[in-house]
Amino acid sequence: MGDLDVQARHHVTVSGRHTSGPTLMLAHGFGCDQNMWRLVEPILARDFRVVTFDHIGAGRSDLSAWRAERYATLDGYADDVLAMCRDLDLPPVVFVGHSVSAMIGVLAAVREPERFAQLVLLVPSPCYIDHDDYRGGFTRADIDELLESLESNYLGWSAAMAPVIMGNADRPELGQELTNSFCRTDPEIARSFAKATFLSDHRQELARVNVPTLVLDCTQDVIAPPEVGRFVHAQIPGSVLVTLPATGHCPQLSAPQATAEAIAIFASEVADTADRP
Amino acid sequence: MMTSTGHDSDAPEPHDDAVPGDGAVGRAAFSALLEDSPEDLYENAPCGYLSTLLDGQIAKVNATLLGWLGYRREELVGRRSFSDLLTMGGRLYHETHFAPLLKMQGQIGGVALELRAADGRRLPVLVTSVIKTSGDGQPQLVRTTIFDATDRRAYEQELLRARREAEQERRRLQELVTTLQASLLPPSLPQVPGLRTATLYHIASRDEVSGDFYDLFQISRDRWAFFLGDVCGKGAGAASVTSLIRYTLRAAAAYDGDPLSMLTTLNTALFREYRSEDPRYCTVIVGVLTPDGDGFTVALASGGHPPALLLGADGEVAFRQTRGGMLVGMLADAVFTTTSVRLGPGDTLLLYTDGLTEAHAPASGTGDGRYGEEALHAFATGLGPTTAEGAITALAEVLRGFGDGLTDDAAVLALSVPAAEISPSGKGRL
Amino acid sequence: MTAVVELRKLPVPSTGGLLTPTVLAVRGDLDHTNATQLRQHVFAQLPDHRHHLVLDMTALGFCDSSGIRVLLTVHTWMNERAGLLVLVGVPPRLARVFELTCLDRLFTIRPTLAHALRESPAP
Repeated sequence: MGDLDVQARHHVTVSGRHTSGPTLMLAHGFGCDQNMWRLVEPILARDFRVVTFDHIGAGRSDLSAWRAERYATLDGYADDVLAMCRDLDLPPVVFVGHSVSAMIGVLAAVREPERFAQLVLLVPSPCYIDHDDYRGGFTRADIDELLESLESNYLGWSAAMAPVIMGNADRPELGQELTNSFCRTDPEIARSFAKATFLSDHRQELARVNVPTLVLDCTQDVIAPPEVGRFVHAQIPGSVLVTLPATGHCPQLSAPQATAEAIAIFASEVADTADRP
Repeated sequence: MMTSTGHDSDAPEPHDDAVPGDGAVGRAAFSALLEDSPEDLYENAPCGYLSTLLDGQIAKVNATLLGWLGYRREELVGRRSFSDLLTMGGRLYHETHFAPLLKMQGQIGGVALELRAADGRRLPVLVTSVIKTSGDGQPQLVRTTIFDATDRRAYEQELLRARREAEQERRRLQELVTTLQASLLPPSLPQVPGLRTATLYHIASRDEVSGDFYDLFQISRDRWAFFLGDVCGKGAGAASVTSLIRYTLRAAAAYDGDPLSMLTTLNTALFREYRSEDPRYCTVIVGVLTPDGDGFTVALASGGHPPALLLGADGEVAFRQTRGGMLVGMLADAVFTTTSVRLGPGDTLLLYTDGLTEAHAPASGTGDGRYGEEALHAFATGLGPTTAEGAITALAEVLRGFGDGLTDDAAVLALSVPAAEISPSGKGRL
Repeated sequence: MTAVVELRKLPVPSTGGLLTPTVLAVRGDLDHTNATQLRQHVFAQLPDHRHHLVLDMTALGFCDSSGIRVLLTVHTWMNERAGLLVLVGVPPRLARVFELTCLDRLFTIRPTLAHALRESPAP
């Protein structure tokens, strides 16, 4: 079953015994890869079938499939999500998108709503740059600084970084293979993904979401401040906003239990609805 | 500190526990070392120290870092978080890369970031962090050391600039090579009535102009000439030779229209032009097509070139040997050989350079691991009666199969007469 | 894939009253990536006067058209000084290329080093 090509291309992994229950599709954000989910995935896999993957260009995806034009905007990534849903024969999924992947999920769900049972938007931001009375939190100059940071860290990455990551004696479960790929990206790809992410403006699409949506934000988040979470909630009709007792932009790492529970409670509604005669 | 000025050589060997050095100065220096308290080491270390709570709030900071940033301790402790000290871009990088990695691994090292000082100055630093855990493994706080990386950053900027420049130069070179290469080949082959043509051209390196060439052109109302060859060597020198060859052969064809005279003219030109310190040679096979009933007569002349391969309509495959033709440009009075081929309906004639037969192909079973003429013959036999396009498509697949084994440039020109088609004049049947 | 070629000068016993040759052994693969270098090394071994050079090609694996150019350049240079270039141990595939391009008629080719040394020209 399923298309082997798309599976290999995105290094798709599937877990969870309850294959008859709802299927969760966990999409990582800018910076790292599907390992971002490794603390919440085992919790969720107790009750759901869980699909994780790497965006093209990240982690163990097929780097040769990366095309500058295709991934210059988030639409290319949304196309990939839809292709995976289709080629892997997934039932309508509960799509959990972290950070930029929240908006990738929004784009995909606006285009083909029938493939989505629900959306869970984890610390989303439809637009990172300030516009008039909209506060995204950043200016264009800030984004240019980030591109600089990416570049200067690329230089030191292979030489200075690798021994530290690999010499992780007291965390043996972090195997060499994992740490080698985790958060490591070809500089050109990282640059392109950073641009696609932080220069995007998809505020208009929010109102067109026609899928039950949960917005999760944190009490304190530099990248997606609470007012952005409230904006997303206000724009998506019928959405639910839950603020996690967590700080930072990666609640799935800093508060995995609370994050997993919030996702599970919302996703269970799909199961309940489906159980009804 | 150990000193080693001249008079020290007279000093007795120190015991294991002895104070190193001798005299009042040495002893004073050593006791100063003993007085160096851990507290002072922390506060005035040659690097910045920072301890933060798990939510990022600053819990402790040393004097060195405060000095670098121009903050007072009470402005930071309990009030600001580590990411507040970063530039906005650095903050994005911190949240998307640094923080997740630190959480996942318990430590992260050697990351380049920029701090923003109280007066707005930017301070390039290298940051290393570890998570301190309690006895039961619960994370408690994050310890961070910060090194001034101003010099390193300047050096990196220089490296980056040099790399970009090198990449740009390489791109320019490749563009130049591509343009030059294109000028040496016909943009497309002309339509010859009653004849199908197809070509294959593989360039081993985008950095160097290939020495392989071919052409096909009209020389009179119903006669056409073609050639395919290989200049010894490659690069700019080979490109200028290729250009000379192309114009010499075209001019000779217009003048005479006989393949042997074309080759002789070319030989003279090459021999004269490149006589001295930079002799140039080529192998080339030249042909002239003359309509002949339902096909063509092909007069061939070869100067040291691998034999053409005829794939007959009846499935017979045979090399048209042109042995005895010399490398062109080698001797003033070179000798070339000629042969004639009848190209009837369903026949295909294949010309190629030795990049094809010399490709590394361990699977072909030849003694030296090269593809070889036998393998080409066997491959053509397997194809059966085909067309110019069919042969080229199949050969393209063979070339792809060589992968990295295809180390040299390769050119293939295929000519075929369609099976049971209209006459070569292209007129009179419709 | 980069070709690697090696050039070694072999010791030669005196050939009596004949012109004592320089014997150079070529080993490895010769193509456009190293042909220029090889040519420079060969010329570095040659005195600028009438001379006898033997190239031992027994251990030459591969030789493309750039390599043949080197041989022709050396040949021309020797000719202009009334010297002699002898090729020995030409590998079968290269021999076929020589035959195809008629270089077998241009070059002096001998099966072994011993043959070549016996025929050294008079000084």
